[in-house]
Parts: sequence; C-alpha cells; structure tokens
Amino acid sequence: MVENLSFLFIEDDEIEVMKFKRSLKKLGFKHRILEAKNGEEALAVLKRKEELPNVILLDLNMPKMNGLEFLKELKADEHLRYIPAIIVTTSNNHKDMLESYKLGIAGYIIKPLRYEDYIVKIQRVIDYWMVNEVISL
Amino acid sequence: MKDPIQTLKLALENEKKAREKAESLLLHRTSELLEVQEALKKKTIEFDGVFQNILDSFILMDIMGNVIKMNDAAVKLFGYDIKKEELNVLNIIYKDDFEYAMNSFAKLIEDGSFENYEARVYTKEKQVKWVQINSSLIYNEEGRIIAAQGIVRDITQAKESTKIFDEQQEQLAAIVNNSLAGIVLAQDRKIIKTNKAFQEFTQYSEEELFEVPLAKLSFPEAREESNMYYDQMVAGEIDRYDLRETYKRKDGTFFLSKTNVTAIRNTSGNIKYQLAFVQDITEKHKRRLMLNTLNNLTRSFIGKLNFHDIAWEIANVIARDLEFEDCVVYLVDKENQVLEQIAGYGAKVNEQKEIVNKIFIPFGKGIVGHVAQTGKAELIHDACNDERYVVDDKRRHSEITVPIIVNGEVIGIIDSENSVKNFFTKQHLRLLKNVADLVSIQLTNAANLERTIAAENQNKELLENLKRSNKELQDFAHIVSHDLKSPLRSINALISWFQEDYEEVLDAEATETFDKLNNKLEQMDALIDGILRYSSIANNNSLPRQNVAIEEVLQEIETILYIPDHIAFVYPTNLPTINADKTRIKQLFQNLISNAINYIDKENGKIEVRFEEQKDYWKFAVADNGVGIAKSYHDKIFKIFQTLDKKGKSTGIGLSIVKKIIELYNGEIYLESEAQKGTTFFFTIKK
Repeated sequence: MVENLSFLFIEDDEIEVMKFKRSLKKLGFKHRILEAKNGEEALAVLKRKEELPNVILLDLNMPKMNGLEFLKELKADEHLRYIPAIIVTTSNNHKDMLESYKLGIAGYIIKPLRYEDYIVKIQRVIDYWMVNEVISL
Repeated sequence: MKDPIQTLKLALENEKKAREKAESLLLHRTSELLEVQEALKKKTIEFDGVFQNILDSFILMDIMGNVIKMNDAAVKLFGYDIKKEELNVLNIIYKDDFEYAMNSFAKLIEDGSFENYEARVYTKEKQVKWVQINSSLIYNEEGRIIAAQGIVRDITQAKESTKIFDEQQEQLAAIVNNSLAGIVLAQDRKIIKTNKAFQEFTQYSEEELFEVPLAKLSFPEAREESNMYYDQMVAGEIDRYDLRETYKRKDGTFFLSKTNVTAIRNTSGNIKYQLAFVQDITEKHKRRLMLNTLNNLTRSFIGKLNFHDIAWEIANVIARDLEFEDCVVYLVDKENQVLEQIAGYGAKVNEQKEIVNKIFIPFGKGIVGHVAQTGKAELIHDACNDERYVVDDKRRHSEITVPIIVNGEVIGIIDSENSVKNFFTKQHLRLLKNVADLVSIQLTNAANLERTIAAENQNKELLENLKRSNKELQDFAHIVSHDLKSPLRSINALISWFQEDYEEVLDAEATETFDKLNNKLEQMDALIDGILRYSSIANNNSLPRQNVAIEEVLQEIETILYIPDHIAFVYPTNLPTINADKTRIKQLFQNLISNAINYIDKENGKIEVRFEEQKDYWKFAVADNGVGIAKSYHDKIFKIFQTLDKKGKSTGIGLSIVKKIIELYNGEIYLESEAQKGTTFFFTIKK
C-alpha cells in the first residue's frame, strides 16, 4: 500500500476543496494534496515540475481554463500526459463524458448530493490508487 | 453323246466360273465404292477446314432444323455451341419473323437454294440480331434432301445504321416540310425539289414544279437583278444574295416574296445546286408572322424575372421578327416622373448592347410621355402631323407606342418608329398590346415567385433559429443544472460538518430540522435531474435506432428499481423486440413502473405490463392496483412539474418525460383509472 500519494486537486469551489481535504482527514489518509483553482493554475504547477502528483483529480466547470481545455493541454504534453487524471464533477452530461474519455481519462466520478456518499466514493478512489503501482515521472 | 456326269461337271464348272466372275466384279465394285467414300470423307475434311476458317458463320442442319455442324463464327454469333448443347433453328427465330422464315424455308425446299434471307434471331443471351442467310440443300445419292447448309452474316449494325440514316432523313424532312419559309432546290435554276410551304405558296404540286425554270414562276421585274447576282455567283464572287420578287400562283394571283439564294458548290467550287428560301411577305402572311413573334416572345420570357431582361427580349424579338427599324423599351420612373430607355434595337444600340445617347423623357412630353400618362396605346400614321412628336436620334414618320400596365399602373412603354409613313398597322398595334399584356402577366408572376422564394427563405431561417434555440436550450439546461447542483452539495456538506462539529450540543429537534433540510435538498436535486433528463430527450433527428428486446428492458428495470416484496411485478412472455433507442425505451418503462410502485397502497400490490401488436403500432399497458387518479387530472399529469403528490419525492417530471418519448416514436398515451382501484397507462409506439 502506498501511504504517501500526492494528488493534484483542481477545483474552483472552496467548499469542494474543503470537502476533499476533510474527507481525507476523516478517512485517516496521510496523502499530500496540491491545489489549483483552475486549469491554468494547475498547468503552472505541473510545468514547474518541482513536484509532480501521482494522480490528478479535476472538476469540469471552472472559470478561465475549464476541465476539458486543461485535459487537452495535459495530454499534449509529452511527460505530463502519463499522469492519470480523474474527473470529479456534478455533470453527467453524455457529451462531456464522451469528450473526457476520448481525451484519455482514468476515471469519471459524479459528485453525489450527500456528504456521506461523497466520502464513500472518495475512499474507494483513493483505496484503488493506493493498491496501484504508480510511477514517478 | 456326252456323259451325263461330264455334263454335270461342266455345268458346275461354268457355274463356278460365273460366280468367280461375279465375285471379282463385286470386289471391284466394292473397292470403287470405298474409293468414293474415301473421297467424300476427304472432301468433308477439306470442307471442314474451309468452313472453320471462313469469317462468316456457317451452319449445317438436318431437315428438322437441328444444327449438326457449326463453325466458331457461328458459335460466336448465336451464343450456342452444339458441342455442348442441342440447337434447333426453329427455337431462335424472332417471333415476328416466324412466318417469313417458314415461307423462306418452303422456297428453299422447292428451289434447292435461297439467297438473302434477312430476319432476326435471338441469341443465347436473348439479344435480337439481324442476320442475312444464303443457304442451299444437300442431297444424298438417291437425290433425297438430307441437310441444308447456310452462310449466316450478322447485319445488325448495318440495319442500325440504315435506321439511323432513315431517322435523320425523316428529321431533315420534318424540318424542311414544317418550315414556314418556302424552300427550293434548283439545278441550273431549274427546280428539282420543293417543300410543302413553297408548294402552298405557289399552289403547284411537287410534280408540277419539277424541272420548271425558276424564272417562269416570277414576274420579270426583278429578272435583271436576279441575273446579275446569279452571274456573280457563277463567277464565284458571291455565295448568296437577297431579292424581292413577285411570284405567280397557279390561279393567276401573285404574292410578294423575299428570296434568299445560296450556292451549293461541288468540291471543285462549281455550282452544283442553288438553294432558295422564299418568304411570303404579303399581309396575310405577316399576320401569321406576328403570331410567331408572340410565340417566340412567350418562350423567351420563360425564366426571366426582371423587367430589364424582359425588355431586351421584347426589343430584339419584335424588331427582328417584324422587321421594324427600331424598338425601344422605356421604364417608368415614378419618383422622378420620367421615362428611362432601358432596352433597344436599331440605331439606339451599339455593339456592346448598350443604349447610346440615352434620353429621359418627362411624363407628358412627346408621344411616349403622353402614353405614359394616359395608359392608352397610340398608332401614329404620320408623325409630321403630330405636334407631340419628339426627335430622338433622327426624325421618323410613323410611330407605335404601347404602355405596359401592371396592377393598373403604367410601368413601361414599348415604342417603335419608322421612316415610312403608314408603316404600322392595326395588326401591329394588336400584337404589341398582346405583348404588353404578356409582360404584365410575367412580371406579376415574377413578383409572386419572388415573394414565395422570400417566404421560403424566411421559413428556412426560422427553422435554423429554432434548431439553434433548441440546442442552446439544451446546453443551457446542462450548465444551469450544474450550477444549481453544486451549491446543493455544498449546503449538504456544510450541514454535515456542522452536525459533526457540534454533535455534543445538538438535540434531537435540531437533528430533525437538519434531516428536513436535507430532504428538501434531495427533492431539489431530483428536480434538477429531472429537468436535465427531460431536456436531453431531444428531437428525433438524433434518435439512434437499435433492436430493443422489451423483456430484457423489463428485467434490467427490475434490478435497478427497488420493488418491495408485497408488490408482484408481472409481464407476458410474448413481448416484442422493437426498433428504437434502448435508453429512451428504458426511461419510458422505468418512469411508469416507478410511478406505479410509489402509488401502490394495497397490502398485495400488483404491477402488470401488457402487450398487443397492432398493424402499425406496438401497444403496451402498465397497470397497477394503486390509489388511482381522478378523471379531472388525466390531462394534467402529463404536463411538466405537475404532481398530484405535494409532499413526496415526486418531481412532476416523470410522466412528461414518458409523454415526450412516446411522441418521439409517433405514439400516443392515455390512461384508465378508478380511484382506490388502480391505474392503467396505455401507450403506443410506431413500428
């Protein structure tokens, strides 16, 4: 089990960020969380290459550069394209899903209404990546 | 006296000798016969070689028509090969030629040979071919007919060419005979051929005109001119000339003609024929010409929608057909109260088809300006006596002016002038009035057509807008729902944290309040989902079609929906497989079935799916034994956001989704219900 994964969490909604951090704390995980408020910021973090995350979690609807635009940029980068990216969104719009999978995502999670349900989903996602062999670029 | 024994011996001897002789004779004969047979065989072989090598097809048949020999060319021609199949010539004779074939065969039997038999046959590929056959009979030694042989030539192509040639001749004859102008072909100025029009002009028949010198038919007044031109033509100086002559008719009357003569030369340049076109230019004939003009104009107007284009047609066709010196069409400019020259023929037009020295005539000025005001056509026999006359490029002596009136207003003028007094006739006036009417009709039609096209374009645009709006609305629904759902999630999270963080100080009442709050959040979330689903049903342009087994759909629904134990869910085994979008069909059944589950209040609930196949539709029913729906609500329940259950989780979207899906498949939905007994929804889906 990899106990010290690092996640890049891309989300413009402050409460969502809190939710993610609080869920991880509640679940007793010790993973590192990098934050970005939108795609542009996230790219800046990644391009700095000081610390690359093991997994990227991102929302679709964001100001400035939205999730799909970010994905396009990410997948266009020779190195960064290998970081698994998972969509976490409220939108189950078929078009968005199709476009995301076409761009090459590692998962598509719908945010449930209830906080308890959210914790369960997050736990499963993180558990999965903990049992995965991750590579550092 | 001889010894009788001796005698007998002698007789025996003689007999033996005779027999030996006979035998030797017989032997000799046999060998002769063998030689003949050998020769025949040799001949046949030689013969074989010959006919295998000849290009034409060769067949040999017995008297029953069975082919016993055929060469490669014959195989190629008929498509049959007797090495592979039997062939009887009777079977390949073209049905219409059968009688002719039989007669020809009878003649062949009678005469021993038959030449140039021409008829059609069917090939193996059922093609019809024209063949020419030369045939003769073959006899045995006793003179009995044993076979017939024939050389067959494929003449299909030749027949076709003849046909085309005949057709072309016919076409040419049609042109010549229907020409309104008289056409004469002459050799050394003697008639050798005439057309119908010329025969009608002169009242003579073709035979009567044959070899008649042209000079005999016309008055001598133009003879000198004619001879001069002819001499020039013979000398090779000119190839054609025009002449005005007066022709005599058979009954003694005469007619004025315009004759155009063209030389037809042989390869060495000498005149072989003279070809003359003779036009009758007397009044009666002119009237016929006018009708032609009108016809020509009508034809040339087709497809022309604006007045300028039409104006050019009028000016050109009228001037050309009626031999006017000029023709000008004016456009009325109402704003400036003037008439503009927009099209013309004659002195007013240069080579680029532009009007030179274009003038604008004010209303009321001159004859044209006057007609523009009165709207009445004018025929001026002598312009010198008319003070209104305005000189444009040159003074002329007679004038004809006709207004073009559309919807009671003068919109244009057709005008022609002539240097000869009394040139224009009443017939001309009538014709021009007809032309003006024609233009009026055409322009009215054009205006209508333009309106129709405009309306069509508008419709197209509206449809595009509607499509775009629909698309925008769908995108809008997605964005809005996302923006609405996010705060709901935040509120829920915040409530949960509040409950977590202040667990010790919150009493039961507070917890209940938070539960209610969360309930409302869930309702709102469900509502947003519903709107989203409803808006994504979309139109049938993007409706995928696949085979959907209804039984499978129902099985899947059973696993998705929670069906309590006290409710029995049943469906028949004969459910069909329909051609539709599976997701939407599932949505349809799922909504109806979950509705049924929600409203069952009995201890032993039952939901039943029923099915019936109709001619053009699949008809289904979903029946429950729930609370039932009062009649007054039957229409209302299908409208969006209408729910009869104010407190529950119902959003009032489910049945509107159901209805929308059914409408996508051109079906209908209705229900039968009795309060407290249950409800049955019936719906159809077009096959």
